[in-house]
Amino acid sequence: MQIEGTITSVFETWPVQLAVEAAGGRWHVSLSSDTTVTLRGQPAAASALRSGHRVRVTGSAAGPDALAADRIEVLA
Amino acid sequence: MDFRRGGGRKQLAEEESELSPKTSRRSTPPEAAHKEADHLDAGAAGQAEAGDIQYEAPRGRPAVPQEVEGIDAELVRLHTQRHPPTTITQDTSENKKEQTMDVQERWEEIQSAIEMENTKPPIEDGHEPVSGNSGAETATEVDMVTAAETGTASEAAPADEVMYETDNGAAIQEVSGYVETPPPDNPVIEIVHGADDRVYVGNTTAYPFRTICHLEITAPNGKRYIGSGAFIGPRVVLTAGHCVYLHGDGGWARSVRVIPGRRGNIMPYGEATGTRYWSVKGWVNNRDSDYDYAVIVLPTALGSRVGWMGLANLSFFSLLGLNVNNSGYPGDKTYGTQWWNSNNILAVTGRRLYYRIDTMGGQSGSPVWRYKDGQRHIVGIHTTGASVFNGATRVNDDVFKNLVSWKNL
Repeated sequence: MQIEGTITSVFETWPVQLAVEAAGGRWHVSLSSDTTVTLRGQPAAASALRSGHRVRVTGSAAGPDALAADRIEVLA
Repeated sequence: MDFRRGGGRKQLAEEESELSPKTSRRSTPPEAAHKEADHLDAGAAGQAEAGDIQYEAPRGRPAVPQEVEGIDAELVRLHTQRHPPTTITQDTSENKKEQTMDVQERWEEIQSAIEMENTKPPIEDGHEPVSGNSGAETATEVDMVTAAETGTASEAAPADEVMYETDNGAAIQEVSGYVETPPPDNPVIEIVHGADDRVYVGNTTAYPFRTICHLEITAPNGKRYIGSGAFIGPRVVLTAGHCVYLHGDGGWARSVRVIPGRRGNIMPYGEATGTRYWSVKGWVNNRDSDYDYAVIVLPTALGSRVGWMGLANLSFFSLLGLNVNNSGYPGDKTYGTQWWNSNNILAVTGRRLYYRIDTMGGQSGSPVWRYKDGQRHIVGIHTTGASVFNGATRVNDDVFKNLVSWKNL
């Protein structure tokens, strides 16, 4: 599944967890060491993710409004 | 917004002189300071009423690192050099030259976040305790647990507990920490990493660094995380809610391995694994970062060996501009190494603290503490970063009450 929204919080576990505000509501997104991150099309580290980033998250449902991210694309 | 300059000057000046005797004292007429404080106390009691956020930049105040035990003095000096005092002011007409775009942008983002928080109504029962343990799929709501119910209070090394009302500068509520165990005679290794503002804690057996724990978290789905925490009682470790209740991974952690004072592969006090946790509805049921705090209850009284810091519910103006410490276990450094940093609190709301302290994933749950008069008190629990400002859950009235009720579980 895929969501698109804005990162509102970066919870600082390692790997990080994200709160993403999407059109359908707030999602909790968990990353893993296998999650790939791209920043405007370029590969990036998860530590590049910032509050305020507009992102597209692709992954699998991990609970109500929760997503385990396989891929995160920073759009802007 | 009402940005009052000068608020809390007396208290800031007192701390400044205490922390840095060589620094010239800020000359604030006591009466004027008293009047301001009287006025501002109402704001403190009200805690982040919409449209009433106040900020006073500690202009000219040196960024005095507070916590130096366990850290080489030269590293502290270098840290101060690299981490100059934050210069932020709202009086753009007088101080425009002092401002940089970076600082201005930072300030605007802080304002925006605070405005957002202030328009958000509090969750009515957000601080109501919720407990869980490994294997618990959903939150179980139970009444407050007392020491008598757990039957473990006798293990606890008693801490002097002090709660008092106050006006300016002092804690609204406070419990003291506990230091007894002499540190083992471990070698001290100190290094500096490039231009990083964080400072490696070479002697993690020094108080209070030995009370700070590396957390190895296993989620219900088997996924692993790293976090940080700090003892607040013999068997109780304070951390972030998202370190024990993982919304994206099935709920309560399967287990959390707690290693106080870890330094790489060295575990000077051993370890314990927690499978029982307490958090609050605001985090577990509502996923609200304003309520992002929890404790891990350990099967052994490991805290009696390492001690713990006290807790303090400080007033709004005691917190604003306060120089605080943070130390935890970031995931981007050598595994299991502890890193310290210090800076001023930039903004305070009823439920959050914002500061410019470099942090990284893995430091969630690490304590944000004040060092004053030889006493250390935790005033926040670090939770979020990767922004122009980083943030902690504030030890406010509700958080304080819960932590006091949990600390001797």
